[in-house]
Amino acid sequence: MLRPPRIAFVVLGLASVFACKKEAADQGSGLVGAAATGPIIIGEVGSMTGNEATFGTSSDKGIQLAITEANAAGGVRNRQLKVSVLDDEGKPEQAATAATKLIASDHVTALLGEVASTRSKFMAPKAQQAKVPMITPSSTNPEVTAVGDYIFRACFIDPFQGYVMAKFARENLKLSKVAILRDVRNNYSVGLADVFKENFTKMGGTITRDESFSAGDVDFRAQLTNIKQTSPDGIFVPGYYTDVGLVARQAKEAGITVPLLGGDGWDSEKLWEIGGEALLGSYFSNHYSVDDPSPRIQEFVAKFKKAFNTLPDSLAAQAYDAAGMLVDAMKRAKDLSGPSIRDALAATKNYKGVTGDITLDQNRNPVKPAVVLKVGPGGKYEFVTTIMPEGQAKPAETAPGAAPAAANK
Amino acid sequence: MTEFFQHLVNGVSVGAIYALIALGYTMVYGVLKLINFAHGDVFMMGSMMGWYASSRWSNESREPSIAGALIVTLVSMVICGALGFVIERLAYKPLRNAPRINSLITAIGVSFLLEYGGQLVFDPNPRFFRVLPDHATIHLAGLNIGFVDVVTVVVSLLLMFLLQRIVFHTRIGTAMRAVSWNADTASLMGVNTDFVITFTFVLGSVLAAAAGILYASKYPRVDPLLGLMPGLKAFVAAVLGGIGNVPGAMLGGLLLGLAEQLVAGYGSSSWRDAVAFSILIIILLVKPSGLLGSTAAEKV
Amino acid sequence: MADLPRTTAGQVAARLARAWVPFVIALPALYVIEGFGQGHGWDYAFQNINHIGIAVTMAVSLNLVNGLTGQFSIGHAGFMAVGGYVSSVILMRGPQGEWFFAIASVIGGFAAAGAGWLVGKPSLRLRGDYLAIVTLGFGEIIRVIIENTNLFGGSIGLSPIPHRADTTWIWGVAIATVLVSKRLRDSTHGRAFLAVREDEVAAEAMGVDTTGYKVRAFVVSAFFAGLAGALSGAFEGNLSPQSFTFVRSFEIVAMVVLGGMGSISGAIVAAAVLTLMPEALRDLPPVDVTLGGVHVQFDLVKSRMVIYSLALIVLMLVRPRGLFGSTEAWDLVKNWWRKRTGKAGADKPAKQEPRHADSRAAPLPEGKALLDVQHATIRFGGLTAVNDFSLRVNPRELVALIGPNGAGKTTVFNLLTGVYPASEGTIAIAGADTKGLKPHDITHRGVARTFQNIRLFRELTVFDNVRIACHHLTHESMAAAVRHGVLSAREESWIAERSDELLDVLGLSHRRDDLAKNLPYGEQRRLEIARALATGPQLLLLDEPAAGTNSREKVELMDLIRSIRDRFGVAIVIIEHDMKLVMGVSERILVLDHGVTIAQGLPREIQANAKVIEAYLGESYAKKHAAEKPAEVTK
Repeated sequence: MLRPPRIAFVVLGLASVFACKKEAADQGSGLVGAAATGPIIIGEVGSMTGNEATFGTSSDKGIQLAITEANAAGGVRNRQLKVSVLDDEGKPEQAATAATKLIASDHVTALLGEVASTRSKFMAPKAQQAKVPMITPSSTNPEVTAVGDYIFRACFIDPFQGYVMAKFARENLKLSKVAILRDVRNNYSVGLADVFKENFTKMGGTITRDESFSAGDVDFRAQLTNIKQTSPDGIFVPGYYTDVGLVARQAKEAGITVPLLGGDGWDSEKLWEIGGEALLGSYFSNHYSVDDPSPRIQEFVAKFKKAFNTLPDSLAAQAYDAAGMLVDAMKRAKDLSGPSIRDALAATKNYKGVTGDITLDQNRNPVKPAVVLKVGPGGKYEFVTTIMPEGQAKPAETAPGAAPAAANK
Repeated sequence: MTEFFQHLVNGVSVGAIYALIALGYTMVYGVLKLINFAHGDVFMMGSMMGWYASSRWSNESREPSIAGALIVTLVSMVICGALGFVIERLAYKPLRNAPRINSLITAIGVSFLLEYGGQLVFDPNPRFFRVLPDHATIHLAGLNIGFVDVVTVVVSLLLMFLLQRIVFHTRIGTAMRAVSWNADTASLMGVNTDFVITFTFVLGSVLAAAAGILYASKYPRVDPLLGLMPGLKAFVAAVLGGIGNVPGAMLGGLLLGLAEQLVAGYGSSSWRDAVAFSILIIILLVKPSGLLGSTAAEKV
Repeated sequence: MADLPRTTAGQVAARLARAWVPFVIALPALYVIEGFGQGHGWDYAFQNINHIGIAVTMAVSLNLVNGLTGQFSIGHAGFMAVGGYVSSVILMRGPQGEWFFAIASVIGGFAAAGAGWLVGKPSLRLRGDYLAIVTLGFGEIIRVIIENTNLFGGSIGLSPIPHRADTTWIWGVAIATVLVSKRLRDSTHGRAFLAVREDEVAAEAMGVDTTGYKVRAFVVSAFFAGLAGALSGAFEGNLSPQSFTFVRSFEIVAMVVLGGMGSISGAIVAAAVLTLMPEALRDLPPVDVTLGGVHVQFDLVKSRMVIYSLALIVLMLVRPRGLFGSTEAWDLVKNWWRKRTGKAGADKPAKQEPRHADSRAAPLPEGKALLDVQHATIRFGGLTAVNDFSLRVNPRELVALIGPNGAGKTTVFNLLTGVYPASEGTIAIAGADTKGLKPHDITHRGVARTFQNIRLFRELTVFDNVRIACHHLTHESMAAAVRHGVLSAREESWIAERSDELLDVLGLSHRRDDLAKNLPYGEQRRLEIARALATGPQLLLLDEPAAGTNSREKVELMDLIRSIRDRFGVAIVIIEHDMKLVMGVSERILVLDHGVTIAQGLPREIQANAKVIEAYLGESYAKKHAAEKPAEVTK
């Protein structure tokens, strides 16, 4: 019965468990909290592999660029910045583990991530508990920052973008009948669709049909056939560019000619690559326009293109701003402890990001205007208008061409 | 009413794709009694290799053409055939006498390897790939029928008849049926079972490549995970029609496509996947052998 | 069974203590360890330890279905989701407090078990691969339901769930899962699971309700998966449909398979290793590879899923039965300890009175035959395999059923044992009609059989083969087996006693601990008989017991058959081709040809029956018979 190899496996297995414990014990005996010398370590959690790898890697590029720039400019308090990136494979539990590891073992000063609200929600309790400030670049669901006062974000929340497109559709395009095609697997899409529906109806429009799909679907013809029957003036498709391109193609094939409307999830070179001419005349809300002549945007686009040989999408731009906000707060903070950085972050006012002038409200959500872009020939995104948050007046200088010349630094 | 017929047209075109993938599933299962989970990923490799082939031989601006499509398809078929060969030799052949559950797990392992390996090698970003001219839409009595849809249906039917012909009217087909019936006896009768199984695998992979190219022509977005859902759906189609049965795969694919489109059209589109799998479960409970399959009672 | 030996109060107390000791020791220990870990920067270690605990619960529970019972479920994450969501929805609306968390979790577990029953009951009738697909489909359906239901938080997921589950809870449940699995495995129910895995037809014939046991394994397994889901939700404070994908289910399957199908300790180790592996790979720096002047940086962090799948494939190729096979770590330790101390097993049962005549069969009513078959006919499609077959067998009678190959003899056995339903006619056992009964019901009524093409539980020991056949004579419930009840202990020793005795009678004692597949042919046939006798039959059906044995063994077999009849008081119907044996042993002979009974009577009547000689035995027999040399009609 007693066979050496099996015993060996048992021992190996047990050893690995103890090894892990031991390692943790060693770390436990060390200094709790961030190191006082050497580079400042910032943790990043993202989906580098798995179903949503395309979003995670895009976001990662934005962070890389921001940190490289900050280091080139001398770092923070004469210390260089180092990003420790952990992959979560797009799995929520892995995001929680990665956040825990970064906080407990790598003693990061702050956390950046995740792209998706679901995974940010798994990370947030860990950051909150350890009093490590966390900025999510692009988790738009309101629940994320509601977890606690150490959780921030660099993007709009869903209600705002839904409102923007409803207002734009009703007031600028004068549409009265709009159909919705939402992605139920994606809470971002569901959030936008709900708010759009509510606001558009309030403003006197009608929703002719509310259809849905699941991220990763490729065939939307059944939904589009139904939508076509109701002959709407426009279709609101708040999804990611990966799906919207196909939606546009199939809409055109089905003989639908009305414009499609969407949110910042559309923003990517891939949108035009996949959707092509079927997208002409569609509108979507975004944080900035690549064509915006303001130097800070042009500079960002140029540097990004140089570094990664591709144009930045909105995820990259938001990640760039999230990292920028963090660097800015660390410079302003009285020391590099969690609570101090948190206070500095909470006080962020008019931070000149590429996605707009960011001021955080009391819920740690940015208040910034959105732009509406139109897809033009050759996949060029043409600026249409700027829409301010509800109840806020439109400052004259945010129009393109009149953007403030003063760069952030 | 037009709406209903449009749903039918859409259903048939989606179903033809499922059927095309299901053909490969059904063949391998018929001969080896192995659910080749990696089939969906070989199908993905078909699209991917097509993308590489076309970006090498055509430049961006050139319009897709039938001739170009044929060349690209051929290249992709050769590469996928070779891939099928390698997978079978390295991963499945050594397990031929092991319990079936082992092969099933290995198959899932190969599937993951192709998916995650694909993400590593090709980059997870989706890319645009289309080799067939797709702008031609036929308008008929208020219905929109895509050119690609017509091609897909015709190609799947052709391949089905071809396959049926191979299985029932060729030497290798006879050997395949013999191995399917009883591999040991077949080998005693002088059938080179290894060769037959490898041949089946390669044939299945070549079919997957063809399906991959057609799929990409219809849904011109290619990424390393694209094989996952169509793979599962095609499997459902194969079981629905009676796994191991070539016309059954075709029937199952078409029925599944129609059911999905009708559910999405008249029910709720977000429940589409749930409905597909519910149909599967119901079919298995009512007629476990599938619509066209036959049950063999176990000999005691 | 009524008069099992009495147990003292002390023994009861000792058993009870043994049942609960693991918890009494483990829970406070966990609590202390956890308290110690807090605030010492051990968060990451505990995060992993907790994830391992949940993985262990999942893997060990799935092992019940995939490993022990041999079914293939790949939708385990679906049950986890059901348990997690149900318990969390309750937890978020209920009062605070640990006790309420316990209630909510158990409700979640039951919800998952209910889902398991709904899925399992109809689909477990299907064979292997199809069950896999049904469970996969179920997992996807659950996910779609969650995504489309606001109560469950839709795609964003459910939060904030109160943080109730800590290491003590998680590992408490993990330990409970392991104990329940281990105790079930070591009980008669565990052997029933194994029998289903090894050979469903034989398991049925030995009185195991195979569908019933599959469903039970499935329900118990789903229950623990549900608990794991509840813990996961209350540990992370969040639940998301993204956590319960096909990939998750597959990871759990991988744990079971890597650990070794059926090995609980293997599942535990694999759960730990596979949970830690991605974490360990994180810390590895990129590897620079220079191949023929081409410099490639190989990023292990990004490629770890690739490594993971490769490792899985390689392991399947190199060690197809998993790391542990079906061996348990604790058995190895036990054996090693025995070897070292030179002591025999401490839990060897005490000697008890042999009680081999036990049977659940009702006593035979006055004036009824033990077996009464009237005009039984069965058709397969257009083919009539057995036509208008009638047979009465009285207690302690020895009847032979002969006929050329394809005459329908084995089909008659299959009819008698309920494998096939009769198309027409009636079959009564002890006066009661058997219509609609499954094979295990018929075994319960006192009919046992052997198989022409030996169907032993090949991967199990000789001893276990016989013990399984005692299964239906036991009264112990699964809950009692888990509690390590007194009844189960008494029954276990009774089963062991009975099995040893039967092995002794059949001359197999020296083979007790060998695997059935390693026995020579003749002994395998004898083991089949021992196993059939262990079910406590009144009627024994022997299907070609002499096939493949030599002439000396045949003589022994004749004696054996007679002695079995005398010793156990059973009636025997025997199918045999060997005429010497048939003529020597049987009191009455029935001749079948093409499904039709062409003759019946005493041996010498059959030998003289012209119809039999002509239609079945042929002329050559007539010649040899004249020379007093019985012919062998073999294939």
